[in-house]
Amino acid sequence: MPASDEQLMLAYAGGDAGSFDTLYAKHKGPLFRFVLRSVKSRAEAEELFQEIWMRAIEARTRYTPQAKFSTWLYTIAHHRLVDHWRARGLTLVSLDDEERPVSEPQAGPDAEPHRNLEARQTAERLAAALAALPLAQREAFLLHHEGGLDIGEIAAATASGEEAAKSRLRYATNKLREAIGDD
Amino acid sequence: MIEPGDNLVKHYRDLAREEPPAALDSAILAASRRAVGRPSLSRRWAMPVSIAAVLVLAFGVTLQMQREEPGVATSTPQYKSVAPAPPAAKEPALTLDRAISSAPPPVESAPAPNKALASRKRATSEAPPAPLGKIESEAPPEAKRSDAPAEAFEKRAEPKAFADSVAPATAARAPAAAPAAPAAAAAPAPQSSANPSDESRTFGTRDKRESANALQAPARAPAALAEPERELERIARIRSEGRHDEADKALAEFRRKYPEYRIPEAMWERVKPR
Repeated sequence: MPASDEQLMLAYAGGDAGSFDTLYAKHKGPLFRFVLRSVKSRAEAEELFQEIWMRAIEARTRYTPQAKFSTWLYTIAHHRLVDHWRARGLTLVSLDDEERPVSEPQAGPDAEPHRNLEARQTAERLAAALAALPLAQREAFLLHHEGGLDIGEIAAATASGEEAAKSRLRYATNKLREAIGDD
Repeated sequence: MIEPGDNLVKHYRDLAREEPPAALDSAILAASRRAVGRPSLSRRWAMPVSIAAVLVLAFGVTLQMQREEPGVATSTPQYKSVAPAPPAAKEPALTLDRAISSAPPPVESAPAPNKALASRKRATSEAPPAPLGKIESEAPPEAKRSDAPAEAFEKRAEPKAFADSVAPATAARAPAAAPAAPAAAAAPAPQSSANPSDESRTFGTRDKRESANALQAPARAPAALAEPERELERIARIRSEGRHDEADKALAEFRRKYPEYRIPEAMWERVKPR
């Protein structure tokens, strides 16, 4: 039976470097996309992504499996993003504000060229709508769809109430459905 | 909420599946290995060799102590040739051996030296290992030492003092060594003696009174709250004194130390970079 994420992290904290390799391989993609879609540029995303993993490595001896590893990891990611947003003048109160302008949609050059036109256009609309969501709503959506966190885990990772997490996810979902014509 | 067959989920999955670049993967994995990296060969063998050397020395000293003849007041001619220096003076072991063999047999206080020896042996085995260089280059140290057993590798006894006061010296060393041993044993404290984890408490508590738009520090035990908040207060004080570079460094260090700690808004205003 394969080891759980929590067991792997404890093993890594105990000195087993191979356990970290397994954890990293599993979570790197979702975490990268979570960060990439939370910031404006890929360069920023790569820098923040690396910092988040460095913090997880440094905090390995303080990890306790009271909650899922993914919740712990995305809590670190959330804190790092909050610092990033604060440094750009965003206060926590404004995270739930109405749509904020973003520079470009996240799906673009990386979109698969062989997709048919309609599918590509839908993907582009979705990417643009996702990028335009308020930070807190986008974060809730990404924590759910990339991180696999449920409402309770989203609330724990973002230190918000469950009702707040639920409504952010609901608002985000509704807006994105509207964007792709799936009302 | 969102069902598995949801169109939105399907379209989201169809978005470009970005991945981090391979160079970034390599850097992160390398850092993870460095963090739990195996020590070098010399470091790995230092401890066992040091312990073995301490045991050999302790055994040698014990043998010499058993051959000693304490309690005899007469001083032998051999000792007069040795300078009456403080305990730190060095003497060849050979000279001492001759002195020991020529001294009259011990009269009394045999139990005291043995008991002191036993406690000193225990203390010696618990002592931190001396540097490899010192262990290899020095002959078995002399009996009279002033402090912790680790200092045995650096000091030699005064033969005259040795002949005159072995029993009191060993009795005095035993209490001196015993406190040093717990201190030495405590010295290599585990690196991972973690503070009560802020992160773990964060997961276990949710603030029900928080409004939808505000973030608050998660509830924690009072002991765990103290340290990060004290550090933030210190950073805020540094910032208010205009020492911004120092405050920036302290803030970065705080973030490394407490990556999951949520800095309240009011505190952030006081510590944030200017």
